[in-house]
Amino acid sequence: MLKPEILNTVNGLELIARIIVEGFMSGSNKSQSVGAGQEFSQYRNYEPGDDLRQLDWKMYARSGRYFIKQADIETNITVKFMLDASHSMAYMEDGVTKLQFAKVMIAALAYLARKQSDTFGLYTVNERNISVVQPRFEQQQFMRFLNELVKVKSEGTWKKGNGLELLYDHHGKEMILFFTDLYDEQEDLFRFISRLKTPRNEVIVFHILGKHERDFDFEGSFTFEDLESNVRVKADATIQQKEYKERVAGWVKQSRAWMLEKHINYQLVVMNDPIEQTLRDFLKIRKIINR
Amino acid sequence: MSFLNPIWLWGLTGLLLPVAIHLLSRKEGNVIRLGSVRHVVDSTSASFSSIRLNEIWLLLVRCLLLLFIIFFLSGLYFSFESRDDKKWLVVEKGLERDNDFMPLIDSLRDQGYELRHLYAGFPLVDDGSELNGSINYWLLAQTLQAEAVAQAVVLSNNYLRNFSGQRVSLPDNVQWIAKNPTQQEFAMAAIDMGNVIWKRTGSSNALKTHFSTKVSDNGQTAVPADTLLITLVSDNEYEYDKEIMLAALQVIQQNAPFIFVISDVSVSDYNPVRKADWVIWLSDRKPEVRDLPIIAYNNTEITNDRIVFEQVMPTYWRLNARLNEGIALNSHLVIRLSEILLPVGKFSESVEVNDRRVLPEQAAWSVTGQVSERKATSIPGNQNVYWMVLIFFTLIVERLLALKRNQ
Repeated sequence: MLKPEILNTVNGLELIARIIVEGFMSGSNKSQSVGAGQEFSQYRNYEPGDDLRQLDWKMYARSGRYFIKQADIETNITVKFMLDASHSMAYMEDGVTKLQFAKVMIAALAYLARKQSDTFGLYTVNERNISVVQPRFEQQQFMRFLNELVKVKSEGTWKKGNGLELLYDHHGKEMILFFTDLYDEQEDLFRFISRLKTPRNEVIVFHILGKHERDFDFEGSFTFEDLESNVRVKADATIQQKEYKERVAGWVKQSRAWMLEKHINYQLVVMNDPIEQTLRDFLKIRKIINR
Repeated sequence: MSFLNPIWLWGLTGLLLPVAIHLLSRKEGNVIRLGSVRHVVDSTSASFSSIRLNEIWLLLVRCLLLLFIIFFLSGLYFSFESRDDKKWLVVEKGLERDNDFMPLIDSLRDQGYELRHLYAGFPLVDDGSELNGSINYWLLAQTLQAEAVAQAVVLSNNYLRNFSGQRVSLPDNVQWIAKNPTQQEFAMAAIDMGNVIWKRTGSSNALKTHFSTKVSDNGQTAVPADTLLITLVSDNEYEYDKEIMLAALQVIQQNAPFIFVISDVSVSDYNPVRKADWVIWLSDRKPEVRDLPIIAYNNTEITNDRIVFEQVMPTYWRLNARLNEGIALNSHLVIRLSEILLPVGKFSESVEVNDRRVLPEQAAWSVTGQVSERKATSIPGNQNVYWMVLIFFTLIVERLLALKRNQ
């Protein structure tokens, strides 16, 4: 199912997201129904251009004046999906890049958010582009979201210097899901992540790691090329494997500890794990944490 | 371990090729693109030696492969027969006491050679077993090759009479030493002819055997001569033929150690029950005897007048021509008649025993004989399969290793 030709279309991505979410949501309780204004807030005067459906006809009968009945929209939280679109995300395993993998996870989680009537937005960042789909709760939001998501390409490095202020704009209760491979220069990403976190919001970092990238199970001597810097390194994978694995494990451990310290939720995602499983585990852990 | 085509061993210089390639190759191998190489340590500088060491295995396998191919082409083969250190000294009967060979025999026995007879089964000389009957050198050489003997030295007379069958080449493990025979003089017979002693002697050397006959009157031990009863039956028409025949018989008698008793009878007087060793029938009438050896004139059909004496049955000879001096001379009447009348093989036994003619060394053994041909084709032929299997497996190992090492 995870094929580039499917992943690179909006419909395909939506389909995958739906299959994944419906797949693991089936059997669980349906989320509370969506509806504008179950909880009454206030009345205000009708102004031309207002939706007539929102007119309170009973109020009109009583008072003879047009009132619009306003209610608090029941959004739980704003979910902000942030995607590291640097070129290192182009690392490919079994025909799927990290970026595509992240897109599928984002699409699935966005689908879930929409089902739960959460607002959700998308921020993708690399050296050249920062694209934003502002969090909204609208019917078309999901399609707009997917459309933007499909267009994202992995280019350059992580954004250096200024220009990320837009992403630090925190309003109300929000949840930030940041998908990255944590490959950066001079701790750019860590600085960014640490700035994302505020006392009110919840930040979850999905660290995407390839299986071979983690285990270094290439047999023989290879030339390894850095996707971002194009630096080439010749190495014997068989000899280095043990040290490499230790280094990666240490790095993961360190990253996790660093984030734990900052109350950031860290999720290590290995690419060959099934996405459904990864999402289910993630949601399960979140449920436990939130209690 | 031997090579059939050692010229191919020059191919071993080709081993330099993979070595050079492995030394000079700076091939990067496959490129794998990683998100970041921050965790990968560059081994070109830090552990270059270890990388080279690892590829040495590949180099070794490649050299091995080349080596096997060269061995295969050069026809390397191993003799797997379990030839332990058995060493035989095989001597022909009689030569174990030969003065010329005694020093050689003694020194070889000191070196651990077993002394055996050149005879079927190669019996030990010390066993003292009876050796009767003739031997065949070529057959024995082949048998000797089949024996699990590391080295065999054969001392032989190389008598011509003992070479028979198809010529073979001398096996690798056999050293064949021939004795140069001395001249042999031998008496074949001494026959008492009544008034004189008829004496036949032979003389044989490496090149030839010849015989001579002496008639002497000195009184030495001699056996009495055999008597041959010949009945000459003729009629008047064959008077002249009879005269010729009688003359011929007389000549034979003078030169052969037999006493002829010739009864000259006419056809009408002939009594069929009369005892005779031979009947010579010179008449147009059909011979009346059948159970006696007979030479009869052919009065019915002329089959082949070029052959004066024609054998129709084992004891029935036909005379195809009327006899006169011309016929007698041209058809070697006396010799033919003596061949027919005189018993054959009387002296042949003593001749055979005393025959000293030898087959020359260069003619005795085939240079490109059947045995060596068989060796050249059959033994490596079997091992070719092993070489091919070995090459095939090495190739597979090399490919697998190269695939694994990404070279």
